[in-house]
Amino acid sequence: MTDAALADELPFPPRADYLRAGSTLLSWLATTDHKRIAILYALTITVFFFMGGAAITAVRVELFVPNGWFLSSDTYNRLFSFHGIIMVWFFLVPSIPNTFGNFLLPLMIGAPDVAFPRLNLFSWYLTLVGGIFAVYTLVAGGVDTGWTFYTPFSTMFSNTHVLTAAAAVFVVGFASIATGVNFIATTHMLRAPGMTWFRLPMFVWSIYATSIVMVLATPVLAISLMLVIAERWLGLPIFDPARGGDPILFQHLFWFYSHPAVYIMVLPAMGVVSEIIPCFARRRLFGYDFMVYAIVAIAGIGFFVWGHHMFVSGQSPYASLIFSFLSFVIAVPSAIKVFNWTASLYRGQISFNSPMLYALGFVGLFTTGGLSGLFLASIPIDVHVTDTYFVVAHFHYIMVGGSVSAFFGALHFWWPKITGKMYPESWAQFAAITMYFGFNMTFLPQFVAGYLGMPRRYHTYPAEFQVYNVMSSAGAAVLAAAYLLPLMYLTWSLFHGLRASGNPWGATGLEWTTTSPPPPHNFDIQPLVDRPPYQYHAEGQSAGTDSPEVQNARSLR
Amino acid sequence: MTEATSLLREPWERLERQRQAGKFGIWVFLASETLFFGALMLTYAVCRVEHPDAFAAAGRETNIWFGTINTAILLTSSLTMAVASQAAAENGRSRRLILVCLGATAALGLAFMIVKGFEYKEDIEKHLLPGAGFALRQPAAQLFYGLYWLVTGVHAIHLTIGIVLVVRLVLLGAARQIRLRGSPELEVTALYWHLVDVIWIFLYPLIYLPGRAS
Amino acid sequence: MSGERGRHQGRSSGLWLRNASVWAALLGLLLLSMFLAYVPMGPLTVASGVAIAVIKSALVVVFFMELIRARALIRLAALAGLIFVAVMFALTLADVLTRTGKI
Repeated sequence: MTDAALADELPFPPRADYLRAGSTLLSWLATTDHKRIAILYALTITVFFFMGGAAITAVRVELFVPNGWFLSSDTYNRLFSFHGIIMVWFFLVPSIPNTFGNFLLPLMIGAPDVAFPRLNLFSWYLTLVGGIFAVYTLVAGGVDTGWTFYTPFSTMFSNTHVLTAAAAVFVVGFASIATGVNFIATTHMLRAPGMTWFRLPMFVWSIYATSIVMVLATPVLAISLMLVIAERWLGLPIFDPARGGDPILFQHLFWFYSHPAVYIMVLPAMGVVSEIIPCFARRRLFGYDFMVYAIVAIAGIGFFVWGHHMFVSGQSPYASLIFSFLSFVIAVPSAIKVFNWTASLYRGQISFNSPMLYALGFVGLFTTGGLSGLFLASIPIDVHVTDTYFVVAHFHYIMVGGSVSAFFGALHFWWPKITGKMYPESWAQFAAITMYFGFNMTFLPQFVAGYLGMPRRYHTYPAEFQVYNVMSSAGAAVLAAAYLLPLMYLTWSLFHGLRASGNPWGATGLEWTTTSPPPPHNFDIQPLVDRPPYQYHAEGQSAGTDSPEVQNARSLR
Repeated sequence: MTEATSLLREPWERLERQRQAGKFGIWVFLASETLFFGALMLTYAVCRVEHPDAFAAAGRETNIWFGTINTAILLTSSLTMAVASQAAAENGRSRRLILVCLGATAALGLAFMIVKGFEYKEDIEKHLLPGAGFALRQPAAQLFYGLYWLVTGVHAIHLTIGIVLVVRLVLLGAARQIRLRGSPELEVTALYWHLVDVIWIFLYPLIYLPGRAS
Repeated sequence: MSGERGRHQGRSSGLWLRNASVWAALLGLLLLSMFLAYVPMGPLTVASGVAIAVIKSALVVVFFMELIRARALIRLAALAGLIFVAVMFALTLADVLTRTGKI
């Protein structure tokens, strides 16, 4: 797309886009523009991603040999704990919702901003405060309870910085709740005329469902951590068995949040994939209505399955049965989504741009992770593989193979819209493919090692598992390289990339009808919506012929 | 007209829509608070199911008069807050009525805290702080009191925030810095205040009523 | 301005009347729960305290918080909170109440 084409698109006098409207530090730190807040979040989570990545790099290097070679057991425990805490709460939970959700939600519904812009900024500052607690915890020596803070170890026996770690998560949890309230109100109250609920893009549905989960689940996490803090700091007996406390109660409270939390991490990723696949297959999304029902079902049922993390904790077998059954049930809507993404490819005109590579990678890796989850839902199998690398592989397939792939897919898909620049496509495709292979090399061996009995969170292991660990660590090196590549070429594109047009991919969706980057108030004219999403082709036809009139869900007043 | 536009904020085009969104937003937040205190109640419930006798013995040691009087104080504060917020929402109510009722709400909130202070003092004198030298012999009675101090403390923090919000409205309203009639802030403060009351309504039977019948 | 005030001047009592009746009911229920706590009815004694608390809360939410006049969306938000608290209680107690101590 050349500058000449760009000039033709703009019937208005030149005005500053959101990146250039105000260039002082204060204009960024005191902004209420959701797009700028999204960028602030993006910078923050990138820093945390590399911090969490550095921690696990040390772990994987240590695991090259069975008996360790440069870390003490104590340090090893602190490293994997830090990795988990940072990656879950300071990277994954805010990743897609607070960067792409913040940037895109108002754009996709045709609104000028979120419902409560100042609350939005406050959320970011809360994240920073939580982050300061987390960094302090690291600098002061870390915490060794794992990201799960199980009692009574965390409350009575650990000699590490449990309080500041718990405080970090407690604070960032309220950022989550505030964001959730904001996005729910935005979706209900700021949709453009004609944007009815069943004309919303799937990404909006996914952010909406995620926000409900954030609002309802995170308070329980806050309580679970507050109880740990109260016991440890104020000496109040809550989980002390000698005084009648029930450590399993902590697990109930913790996992009541932490299971829905994994849906906070995966639902936005699913929304992203539902945006990318139709665009690069030039096909309408197959089964839009059921995709919506599936997202809502996953969000809802996700609250009923937390006990599957507690099959060996001492939980009653009757409760375990209920949780096991419901865990099988929740696989159904996820499977429906996978079938529908696949069906959306049928008779498509598929192009393998980098966002599509990430989206297709998501579908395969998420399916693998999800299938391994079914093994874990079965109590007899779970008893055998619990606390082994099988579980580690399962959740990394979903959270990294799934959510992080989708995050990078979103990053590439919407980069032109956010920055107004195009990145070098060949580098991006190379990075995507490298990431896919590096990821599988890292985590596929872990399924085998776990099934064969290698425990997780162990500093040393029997020599028979070394081959899997070496493969996994080598894969991690490839994966790390694949993560560093986008950092480099995306930064390069900011300075030397080609100017992007308003709609470089020819995608549907209101965000593509405004300029790249958008103006501060998103739209130069109020959008009106008169058609469903994903109108890539006429009814009854197969892949789209790219006629511009059917592309955009916008009418000029 | 200028007062209405001064209340209007981005991204809203009409004040009524902004007001609706604020009300909806605070109810969503209240739903999250329900889960927050619900988790604390669950903690209590599980501990009580596991140690019914110890909880009964511990519950007997609470001062039912302090508890009942405090509950009555908070219920009355909800009355004055309801009158204030309903008067603010209706046309033609006197500003003085709103200010007096808000003031009464804050005063009642403060009265609660004072009574609570006396209660805490008495609890300490009766050695009801968990730890060495605890008054009762059953270990799980310490669990009851661990939860008691924590839950009433968290409630007191929430109540303090409420008092600050109400006092702010009184001061700004009296100085005519904000318009109380039709104020969305007042509506939100009132809903928050009632939530703090509802939490206490549930805490009352859990703290003060166990073990009385034996 | 004074005309507007006049419209409600005589009816400020209406505002107080309807809210004070709710308040009177709340205080009555409070005293009832206090007395019932001393009546030995086994598990019913415990249940009575909680049940009365539920009724009192419902009165505050419906009348003082005006849920009775609110849009369906607001009621849905309130309901959502309650439903998920109920789920949290139900499934946790499903564990706690069925532990046999053998497994």
